[in-house]
Amino acid sequence: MKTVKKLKFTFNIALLLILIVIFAAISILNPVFLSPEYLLNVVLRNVVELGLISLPMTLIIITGGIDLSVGNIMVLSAMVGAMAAGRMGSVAGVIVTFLVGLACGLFNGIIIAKVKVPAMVTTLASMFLFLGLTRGMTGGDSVYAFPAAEAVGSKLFLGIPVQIFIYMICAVLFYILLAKSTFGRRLFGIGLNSNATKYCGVDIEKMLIRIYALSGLMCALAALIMIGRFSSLRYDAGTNINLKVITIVVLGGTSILGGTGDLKGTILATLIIGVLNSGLTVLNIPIDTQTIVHGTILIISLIAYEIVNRRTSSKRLKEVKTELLKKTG
Amino acid sequence: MGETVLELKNIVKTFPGVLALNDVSFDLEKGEVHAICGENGAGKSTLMKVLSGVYQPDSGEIHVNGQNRKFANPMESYKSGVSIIFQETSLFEEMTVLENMFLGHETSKKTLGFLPVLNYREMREKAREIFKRLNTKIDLDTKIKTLGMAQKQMVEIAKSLTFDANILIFDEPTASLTQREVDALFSIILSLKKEGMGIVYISHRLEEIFEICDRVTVLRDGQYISTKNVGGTNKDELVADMVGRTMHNYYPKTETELGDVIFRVENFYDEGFLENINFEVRKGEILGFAGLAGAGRTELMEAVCGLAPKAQGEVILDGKKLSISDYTDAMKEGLVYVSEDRGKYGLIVDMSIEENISMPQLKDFSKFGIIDRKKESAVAAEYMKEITIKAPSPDFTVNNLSGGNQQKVSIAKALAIQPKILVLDEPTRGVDVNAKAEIHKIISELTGKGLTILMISSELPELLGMCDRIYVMKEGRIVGCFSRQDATQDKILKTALEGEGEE
Repeated sequence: MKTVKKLKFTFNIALLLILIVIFAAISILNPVFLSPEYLLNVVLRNVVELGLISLPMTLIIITGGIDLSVGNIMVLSAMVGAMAAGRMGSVAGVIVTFLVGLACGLFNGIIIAKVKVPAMVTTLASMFLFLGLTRGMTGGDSVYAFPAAEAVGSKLFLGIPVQIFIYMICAVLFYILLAKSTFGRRLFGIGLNSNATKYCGVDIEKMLIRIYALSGLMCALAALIMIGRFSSLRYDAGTNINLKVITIVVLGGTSILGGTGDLKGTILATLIIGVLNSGLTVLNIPIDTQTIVHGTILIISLIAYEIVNRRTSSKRLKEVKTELLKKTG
Repeated sequence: MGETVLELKNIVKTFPGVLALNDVSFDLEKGEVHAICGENGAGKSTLMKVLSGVYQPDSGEIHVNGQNRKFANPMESYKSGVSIIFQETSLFEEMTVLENMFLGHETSKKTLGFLPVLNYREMREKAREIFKRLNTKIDLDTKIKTLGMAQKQMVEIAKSLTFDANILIFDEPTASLTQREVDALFSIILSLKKEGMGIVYISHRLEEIFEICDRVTVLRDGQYISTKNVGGTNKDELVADMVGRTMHNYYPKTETELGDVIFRVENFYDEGFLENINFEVRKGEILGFAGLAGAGRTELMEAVCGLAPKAQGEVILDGKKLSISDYTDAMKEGLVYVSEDRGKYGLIVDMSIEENISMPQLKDFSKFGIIDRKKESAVAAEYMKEITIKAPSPDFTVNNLSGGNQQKVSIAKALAIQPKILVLDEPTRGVDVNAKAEIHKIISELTGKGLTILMISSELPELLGMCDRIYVMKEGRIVGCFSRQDATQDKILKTALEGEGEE
């Protein structure tokens, strides 16, 4: 997997370059963008929820799966959590939010791992299920933030929004989990060859259930932050999030076919999306055009990934051949 | 007999490092059933793939109906009148019988003078006619997946008749049929023969050859051995031809002092296939498992190692009865399996050597769940040296290694688990001659160090050369056991074919 890593490294540099170019271009066009307040309070703060959910999504996609219901898990857990907080107080609200997220994730995971319904179909169906549940429970009304949610969604710590710290901690933890831990190694195994991984004694069903459950929990965390940030939330808030999160992961160089990817790419991609979102707004670019820009950047980076991928692997193969020839000849 | 419809002359076919067919000739007459037999790997299937255009021969000529032909692909072969019914049917499960029969050569008609659409009526009529000839009724609109094996085969035969073939090839047609279905198939073959078709019948079931064939050609190790009239030969003569007299001594089996019985499997069975399996092995022994493809050797080993649930019976290691519910349990007890299909089950080929070796026991390569990469690399380097894996470094991707070296990684991965019993399933399949000799040497050295090995192989010389004892399996049962001194290719093959051997 060394070859894979080497090429990821260069692709991550490409991502970094894209980030710098976009960042520089927007800053030149509108210097307001460069102010620390704007960077922290708008650019970064607005992308934390997406960023948090894209962390477990990277793990899921590496195993060859996908979760199309994350946005809806998020809003459902926010809604039920806020309703619980209204009746039983803030602590109960937090607990209920996480329980709902966990339950949704387990629901997906068990159907995917045990019943073996493809992840795409399972989560497509559960997306509608969760959306319907959210709407049914709230009757279409908004729910409102409660103190614990405000503490993570709209408060500052050392002058920096609290959720940015939360994201940083989670990003580091997930990075270690995927790149350094036995758990992460097994995830790659499942994505590359689930048969052979099973023949290594890995309980694949258990692994899959765990990552979908983990995804549910992260959705709940993002839910608390989101309701704290907006102070109120409607049932349809989560619908766009599903595809945005997948976009971030794919932009970050994780293969949708499973088996390759890393979290550095996902984190860089999160920053790119954050800068683009706020930057285009700062430049007063109409929302339609923003969407076009998003699509174009995604396509450009996917093409870049393929090219970098092909070049590095063929180069590496040549190196290996000469090395082998030296040794044997 | 009548005219010659098919003639293969001096066919040579090589694969990298392997001479699969060496100067093989064969001919078939009109209205004849001509059998081809030989051991696993004798070249029967390769020869038929050459004839049906799947492979192109390196040299040699193919004459079909008097014309010299070169087939670039199976469709050309079909069109010249050669039709092959493969062992595994090539039908599309989700399509109907009719759609399958005409796939790739559908008849169409022009609608409104220009728009070509499928002419179902014509195809349906043709299909009905064919099934009438075969004296069979199958609903043309049912999906293939709802049919049984025998019916699928019938569809295959019907499909081949849509090409107006006059040469039919059956590749192990009875492998998964019941006796009654076999009888039905034979009556169809006989009626096709009466129509004047030339039929090639590949089988290793000798009884069948004597039942319906006119002549029989024997291949061995890619060589043409003999062609005989069935009436003028007998089973023993055929087996002798299949096995050959010479026995090469490539196998560096070192004599080891055998210990006590270390591992026993008793009254072992599963639902429907494996029946009443009993065997035991002594410490340091290499115990072989012979049998034809599909005899249940792999199934047995997978079941013993907890890789196939629903098997029952006693598995006793070091005097302790094991309860194995999955492969993790088996590994913990020191029972390790190396799969015959290393690309699919044995290795994660897109990972590095070290990552493959650590995969079954990541816990031992980690602290607090974090992988110790230095240890990984060091252990891998050790095994690379010990069993001479030729690769630049332990972090080299397995995919870029040769077959032999991949197989060695597979073995290294198993050895790293510190097994007491190592199960090797076809350990030298798909590796070149040199790597094969090296792997044999490794196996031999391992038993010298006290490891006990169960080895499945379809190559009899390999088993005879390497094993202390050989069990023979047939249709999910152990039908014979031979000691190193008693075992000969003839005896083993005869037992594997006929299922009667000395216990």
